[in-house]
Amino acid sequence: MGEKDRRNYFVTKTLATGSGQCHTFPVTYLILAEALGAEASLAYNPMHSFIRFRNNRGTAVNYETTVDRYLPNSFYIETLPVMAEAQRNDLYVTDLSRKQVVATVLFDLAVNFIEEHWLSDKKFVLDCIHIAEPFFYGKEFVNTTCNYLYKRLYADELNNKVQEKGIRSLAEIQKYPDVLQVYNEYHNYMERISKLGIQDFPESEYLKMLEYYDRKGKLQTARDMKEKTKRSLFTNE
Amino acid sequence: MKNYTPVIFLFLLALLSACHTVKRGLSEDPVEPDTGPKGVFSEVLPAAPEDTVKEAYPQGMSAGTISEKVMYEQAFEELKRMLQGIKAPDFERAVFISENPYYATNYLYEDFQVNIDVHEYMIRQLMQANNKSDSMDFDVAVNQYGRFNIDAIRFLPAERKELYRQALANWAIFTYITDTIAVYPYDHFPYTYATHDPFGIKDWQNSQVLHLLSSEDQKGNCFALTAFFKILSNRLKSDARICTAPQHIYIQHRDPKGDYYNVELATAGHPGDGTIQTLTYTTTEAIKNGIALRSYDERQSIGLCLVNLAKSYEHRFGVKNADFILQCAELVLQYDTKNLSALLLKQQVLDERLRKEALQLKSADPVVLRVQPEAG
Repeated sequence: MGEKDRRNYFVTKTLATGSGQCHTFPVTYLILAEALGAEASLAYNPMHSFIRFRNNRGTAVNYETTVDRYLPNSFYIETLPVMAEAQRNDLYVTDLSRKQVVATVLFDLAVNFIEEHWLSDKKFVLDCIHIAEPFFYGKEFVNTTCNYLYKRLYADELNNKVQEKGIRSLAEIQKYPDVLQVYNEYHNYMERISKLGIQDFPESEYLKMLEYYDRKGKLQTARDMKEKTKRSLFTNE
Repeated sequence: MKNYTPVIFLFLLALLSACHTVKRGLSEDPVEPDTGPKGVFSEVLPAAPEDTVKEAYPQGMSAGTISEKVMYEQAFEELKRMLQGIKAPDFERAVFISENPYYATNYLYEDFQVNIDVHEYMIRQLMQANNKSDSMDFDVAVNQYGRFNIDAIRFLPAERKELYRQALANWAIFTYITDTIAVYPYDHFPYTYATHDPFGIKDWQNSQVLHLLSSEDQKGNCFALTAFFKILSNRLKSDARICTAPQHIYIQHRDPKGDYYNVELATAGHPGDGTIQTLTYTTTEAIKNGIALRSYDERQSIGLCLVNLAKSYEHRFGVKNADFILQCAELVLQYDTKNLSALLLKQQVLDERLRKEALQLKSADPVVLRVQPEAG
């Protein structure tokens, strides 16, 4: 997810090394499809993205780039315990238009900015959001990255006030109407997206997923699969 | 010293298998609990008289049929008032009045309520024994930088405590329905899924809470189990909601963090939406247009009882295309256009009418059938 090293989230890294993850593989796929004039779309799942396109019979199929498999919709909506509502609201397992995919790059750019400069320039982050959001007209929730940006902004506004008042615990917030108002804005935002069917990734599921990737990593090590050091697709070594 | 464990185990097994919810110390003086409702379960809600179930339900019209139909009409009117908002939606009452006409209204609502009181009492004991809220801190402290982790403060302390209480109540209901528990002086045995008759085709009673609570085998289909859960949830204010998929009904409720989970009482599990979608052959289109894998609010839940009333009528009188059935379906759809059960019920009536007309005309040609006003 690019938490340890943000560069793992970059397509350039995938193009350079031949390895990647669930963001860089689908985007690389789209870049290649665009170059070839093939129709393909990006689709989201909680903390995940994949490719959708129509096969020869006109049926939309999901192509899971990380494992090179075609998977049914039900596989994706099994990611979280309850996802039907989100699917109903076209938030997951649904095609993004080309413009929407470009718009999401702005969210990524804003996250890259925060990784480097924190929230030193909120205007830049807000500009990214405000330019990209109109391409998702009427959607309170766009994707995990945009949601992350909103949460960071709410957190910053709230925590600045919390520090200013010297608040030490959540219960104390209720003594300060102005702080409570900021908190309520965040709370209401979370309730609105919850009604759309957006839920947190349960910690147990998240840990299970990390364990799975850890096991895969160990397998690569055991088989001496060192793709990053062996390959460089930018040079013809 | 001799090891008597196997002997004791066999004795207990024999004792427990004799009845499902039993009071302990059968040979001794009965010990009443300090608080809670009195009475033994079977005494609170006895099974309907045998002749009511079998002999009083002829397939054709009889002298009793007319008055029994009135019972259905009365139930319809009361449910209608709930849907119209004239009467507050009351799921417990709705389940009772939608099931009772099948037994020629032989059950008393007061008895039913007392029976639910007993179950509620047991579940509250289970909650009390497992409640750790006193030793939990629902408040959230700032970190070493004097700032909150935003993901940890989605709810205020009082809301977090309430979410914990609701999750505990839902867990207790789930455990009570699906597992063996002992609440002194009672032993309670789980309710199980009627695998032999999942749609209540062989015996409509398998779809009924009244039968689930009064029968020896404690079996019911997904509606009976889910409706029982919902009744208990309403009693304990645990905010569980009913959900449906094609030919299936289940429960959904929040965990202490505020996220929803599915509760599958037939298998005592928590499957994800993807599993339910696969097992019920639900298409993505059915999810997207809101007729499958959807939840029901209190008023919409009453609509499900109305559909069950119609199905009860169908099984009781052996008719699939009666006006009463269509009337039920249309009333539900008036207030909940995406109630799949009501849509299918309406389809059943129209299908049956068309089938009969086709038989009468001795033609299955749509062109011939379309010009017949009765068939159209």
